[in-house]
Amino acid sequence: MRVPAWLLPLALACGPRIPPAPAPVPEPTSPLREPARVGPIPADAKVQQWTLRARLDAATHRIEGHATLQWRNTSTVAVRTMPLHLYMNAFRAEDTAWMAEGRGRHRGNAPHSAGGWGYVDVTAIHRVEPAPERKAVALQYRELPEPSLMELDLGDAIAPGEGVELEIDFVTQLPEVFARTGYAGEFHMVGQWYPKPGVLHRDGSWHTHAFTYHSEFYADFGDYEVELDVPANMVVGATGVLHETVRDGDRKRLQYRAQMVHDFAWTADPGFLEYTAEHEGIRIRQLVHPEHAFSVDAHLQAQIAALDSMQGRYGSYPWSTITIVHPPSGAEGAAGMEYPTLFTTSPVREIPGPLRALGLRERVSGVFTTVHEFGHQYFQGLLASDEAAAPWLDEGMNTTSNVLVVEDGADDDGWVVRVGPHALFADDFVRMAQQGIGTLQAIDQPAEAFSPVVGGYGGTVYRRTAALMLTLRNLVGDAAFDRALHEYAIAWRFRHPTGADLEQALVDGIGERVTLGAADPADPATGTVELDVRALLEAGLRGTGEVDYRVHAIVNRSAMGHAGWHRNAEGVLVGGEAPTEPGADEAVVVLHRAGEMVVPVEVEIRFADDTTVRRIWSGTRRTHTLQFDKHVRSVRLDPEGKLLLEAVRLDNHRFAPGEDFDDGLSQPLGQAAETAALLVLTGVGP
Amino acid sequence: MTALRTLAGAWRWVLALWLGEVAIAAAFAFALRTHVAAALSDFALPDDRLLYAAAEFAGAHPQLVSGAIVGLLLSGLLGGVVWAVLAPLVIARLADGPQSAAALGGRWLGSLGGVIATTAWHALGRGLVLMGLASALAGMPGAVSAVALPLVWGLGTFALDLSRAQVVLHGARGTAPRTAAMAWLHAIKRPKLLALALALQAAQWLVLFAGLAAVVQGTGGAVAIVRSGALVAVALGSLRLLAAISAGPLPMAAEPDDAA
Ligand SMILES: [Zn+2]
Repeated sequence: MRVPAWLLPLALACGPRIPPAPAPVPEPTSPLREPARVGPIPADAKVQQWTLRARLDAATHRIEGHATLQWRNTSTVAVRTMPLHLYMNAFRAEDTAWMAEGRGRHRGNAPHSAGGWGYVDVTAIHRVEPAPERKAVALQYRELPEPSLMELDLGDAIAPGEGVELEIDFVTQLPEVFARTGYAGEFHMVGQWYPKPGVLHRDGSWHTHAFTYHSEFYADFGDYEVELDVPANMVVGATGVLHETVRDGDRKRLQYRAQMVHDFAWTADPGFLEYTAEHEGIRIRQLVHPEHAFSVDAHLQAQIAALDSMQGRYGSYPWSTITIVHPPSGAEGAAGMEYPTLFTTSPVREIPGPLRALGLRERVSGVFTTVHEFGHQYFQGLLASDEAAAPWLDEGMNTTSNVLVVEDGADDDGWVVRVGPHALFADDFVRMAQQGIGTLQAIDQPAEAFSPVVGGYGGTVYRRTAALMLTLRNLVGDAAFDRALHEYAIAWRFRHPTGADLEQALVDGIGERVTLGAADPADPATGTVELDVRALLEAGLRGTGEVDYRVHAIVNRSAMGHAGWHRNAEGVLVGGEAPTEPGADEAVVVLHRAGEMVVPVEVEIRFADDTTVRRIWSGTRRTHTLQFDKHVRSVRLDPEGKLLLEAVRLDNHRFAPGEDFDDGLSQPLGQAAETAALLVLTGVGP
Repeated sequence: MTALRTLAGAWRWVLALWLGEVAIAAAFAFALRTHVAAALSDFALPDDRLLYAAAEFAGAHPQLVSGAIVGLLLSGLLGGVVWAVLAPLVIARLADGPQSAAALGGRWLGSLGGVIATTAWHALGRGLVLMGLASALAGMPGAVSAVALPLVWGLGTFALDLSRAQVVLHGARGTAPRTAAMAWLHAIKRPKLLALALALQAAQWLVLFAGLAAVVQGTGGAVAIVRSGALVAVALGSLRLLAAISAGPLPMAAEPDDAA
């Protein structure tokens, strides 16, 4: 039925806005971009070769899986056992490590129904002997008391440099989604769904972790050939590229290929609309339900901005695809999670008309999730750090780079929230999160050390890390910091960097000590103030001190004269004049380091004659006194806002007693109050 | 046109009502401004990032935030009470033109109790209706609530005007809840008058919204714009009251034997 023309505006206003899909961009043939974009792959980077088969029963949300894993011992020690992660078992019962911490909830999402448990049940593991025998030998394995871990007895030892081929049969029951993976209605987000070995370090130590509330993942790179057998009506997205589709009645089999990734995730939902685009030869595909389709262009622009910024900073994105999954309404628990070449984002919130008319704008909801989750393609996808041992290396460095994406991509001043002419910037959110966070817990700790009961995980691991890194960048200069981080990103591509590796790269790239300037530019005798880069990282990453400076006092006074009794050359007391008239003007300024963390700070002094000078204070002692030979009107600490670690800024800018000044806040708040009152009075009055 | 002439004739009244509103709002704003300035002491914002500073300030002084909310509610309550007390005078003056102070005073004393009582019934009734509506619309798109709630609020305001006019001008019993309830029915049964009343209210909000926009945008003289907007809003509100007065005597079934 055609909608009458006069009803069209109403129909458009009430139904979801679905933008037309542009001409589809064909699937790339190779999962990797051209070799120059991929860059050198370290010889021992590829540890695994997977062949996975998965058959999804969409009604029961069960997956029958079969995996062939060829694994290589790249350590210097022979191994007889292999630990496996069974992440899905975190959602198997109330008494798993994950559930004990998460209490059945994740970021405010909980399953809608009781008993929507998820698990992975390994039913057989065989070791396949090399050709020509190819004999399959059943292996012994057992789940540990904490069921997200399994121990596999490999039978014969595997010597350094040798490999093993394993056949693993398993059944994965998806949970009702509330923590990244699972189903909601016909939507299936399939992550952490197959048994995954731990990472064997060169010294022969296995690195595995129980899956806990904050711990994410750690795995070796490998190549994947995956067959997904799903109902024919499903729209599927997955890590890597699709190279073949075979229809079989009411089902279809999709063949995916991925290279140099450390995980394989996929999604299937008959309700997905598809939007594809291409940027520098990378195919960007969005899978979205109609209710969120209005925002695909906003997400695409955010994705392109993130690609441009991050490729410039950390080297080329090596894979040929990016799939952005928009979880539908009811599947919010799946939102905001990264997997290699595929991530889930969150919805853009539409601002109500009246607020828009007032000038409220935001670039946070939805699009910032896309920037963040794409950022993980570098900070963990490519620089594959151990997210359980050092979550700050991926979440914190990613948040740092998210702020830079916003700054790089903005054709304006880079605001993220705007109310009329006033704006909040990405670094304001980083700064704001520092309030009260610093003294709670240090950044550089394993994920399991952060308890959801204590709270502050996001403020510490994500945003205090970003505040520390961006403070360092502001102090040493963008160029030095950006160069150091670039070197780090290039050196650790397709490898497993640790926190120590990043710190060393920063010290190497920036220098151990950086001269910030003369303590008093007008007086060379005051010496220079240096930043000790390693000490700043130490205090910031492993300390719990807050950065807080305040202007303690401004004293304007007259210099004392020489009236009174003094001895003359003969030792006789002479003089005894009455005190002289007020002497010349002088001023004393006292600065106070109120926080425990020491970091050099700039200070701007404005005199009564409206001239200004700048000084730098090392911040090492608790207080610092400055003297001047004229009266001071005001003193401003950190005038350029470089110290993003400092959340409390309302004690940074002080006026001398008796000065008449506009504090900048009471007038606008008063205006807002009067306006609000008149609105209310109109509501109740005539 | 007659309404505009009547309003012009009563310009001193409109001005007085407006001054009362501005005084209440300015007093509230003064109190808040003084508290904020005192809390900041010798300190000023470190830069021009007003939103960050406001958020930091609110975090550091939660008692000032709750104080501001309480102050706003008290301003509204005070305004509502003052308006309820003055309403009989204003209605009598608007309906019947200039009168002696003694005559006005007599009518005021005669209907004040009824007007306050019917205002209280309306406050209760409108609260219940809006709460019920809000919960009924809970599952619907936000746009539906955004249209329906202001419409019902506007209907309630006009019904209140009708009740007050009936009490002051036609001797309806303000203490009877039916006087309030029937006014809603009468408001709905007079779609032209209701539409006019709703349009006048919409114009009131628009004028103040423009003032709010000026404040948010930091337009020079924003406060003057807001205050002038409030004056226009008082004039528009008085026109709305005249619309209610023009409905004439309505069967309010205030008599007990009339109950059906
Ligand atoms: Zn993240």
